[in-house]
Amino acid sequence: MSLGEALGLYLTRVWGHPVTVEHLSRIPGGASRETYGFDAVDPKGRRRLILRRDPPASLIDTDRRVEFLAYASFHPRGVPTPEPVILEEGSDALDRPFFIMTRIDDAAAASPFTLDPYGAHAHDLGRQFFSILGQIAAPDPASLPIAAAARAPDVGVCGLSELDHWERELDKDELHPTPLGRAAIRRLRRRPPPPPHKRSVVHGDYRSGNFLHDGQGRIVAILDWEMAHIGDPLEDLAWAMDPLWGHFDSDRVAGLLPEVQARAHWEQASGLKVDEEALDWWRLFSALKGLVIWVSAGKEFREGGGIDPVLAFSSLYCGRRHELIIAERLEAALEAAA
Amino acid sequence: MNPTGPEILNGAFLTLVSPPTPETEGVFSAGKAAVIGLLCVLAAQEMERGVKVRAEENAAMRALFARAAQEAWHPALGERLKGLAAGQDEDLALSALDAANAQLRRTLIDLQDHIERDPAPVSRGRERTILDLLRAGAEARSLDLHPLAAS
Repeated sequence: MSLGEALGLYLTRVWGHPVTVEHLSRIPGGASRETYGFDAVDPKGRRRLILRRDPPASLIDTDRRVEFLAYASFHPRGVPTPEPVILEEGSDALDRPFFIMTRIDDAAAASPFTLDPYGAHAHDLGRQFFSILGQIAAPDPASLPIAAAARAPDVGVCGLSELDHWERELDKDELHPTPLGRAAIRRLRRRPPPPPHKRSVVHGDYRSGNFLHDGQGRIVAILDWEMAHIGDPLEDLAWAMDPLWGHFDSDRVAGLLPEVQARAHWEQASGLKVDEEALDWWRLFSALKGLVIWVSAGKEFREGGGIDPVLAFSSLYCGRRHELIIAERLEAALEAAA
Repeated sequence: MNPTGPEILNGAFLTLVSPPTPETEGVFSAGKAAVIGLLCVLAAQEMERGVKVRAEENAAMRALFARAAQEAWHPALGERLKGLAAGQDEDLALSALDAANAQLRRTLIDLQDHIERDPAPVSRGRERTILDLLRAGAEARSLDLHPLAAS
């Protein structure tokens, strides 16, 4: 039975009336899950949907329940996201767990490796991008559905808890020693960040390339919440401003705005102030987290038989970019201490 | 561990000869082909520089270990540092260079950890020396990716 037929049978059972699946087509990106667009057609009409299925191997090990509940947390609050529709945690229907959400057509995401992808709309998109991030940081996470599933460290250990998480990932997946990664971990552990003013939902991969825009200067969806958790909101801000996502533009963060403007929009929308010491900690952390993700990609490329080019590209190009960024940040820290 | 040039090209071959399923034809396959194209650009650089970069990084670590052993940066590591410093890369296959590199890097991590924890002022200069070595290695390994035009 084809994937489309199996999906149609599943929806027929869940919705209680005949459903056929049309135009099932895999979409590039979303490396932690297989992503497919499809139309579900039933007597009531046609629904344009996305299937996000767990892969046999993935770039990062994530919980699809957390991602689903992230959409459920922010879609009703006016944050532009797809609407979550069904979460299926069993493997009987489609061999692996999956969830379904609404599809947003006629919109595009930029590749992180394109030059000036937003053109004349960069400023408007930048204002929205960092304001939306502030909107995500603002609410009390305990009031949101995601609190039922996301990891949520105490406020005083948000940074070290994340560091523990990514160090464990590095221990698990490191096939070749990474002195810069280990040096970053030691540096971060020796000088933990001041605790955040409050805990927030952290998207976990908030960056250029993970949002859809309509080509006319409007963000229509924030995607890829698979690494969402509760923690220090500066984690997302630092990740969003990481040089890897800068589109080769050293004057603007995320290829969108000068950093000072980005931070101002974030502060206004979140009602929070950026703590410089904490942000510096999260900047180095971001480079480390990136490096660990790319180390894991290299391992999964090998274990998967070497056939996923995205994993190879991530490991090779992104991994080396983040090693260099770590070296630069460690050097700057040493100079500042001197 | 980063994939080597041969691993990338073998992977590209396997990907390209695998027929797509009905769901992966079209946009997904085109996207995959584009990534393979980018990988070929990176693999070409790895083919050109891979041996040189690894051999130079290994030589730099051995030179550092010789100095560290001589100046007793980490007395407990003295014999290990001396032994590694005396080594050389006789086999220039990427796999052999990587195996030697892994052994050297593990010792470098131990040495750097010790230096960072040592409060003696002289260790700050040594910390800087190690970081310079790591920075140079990261720069040498970095790959050029010409930015793509936005579509």
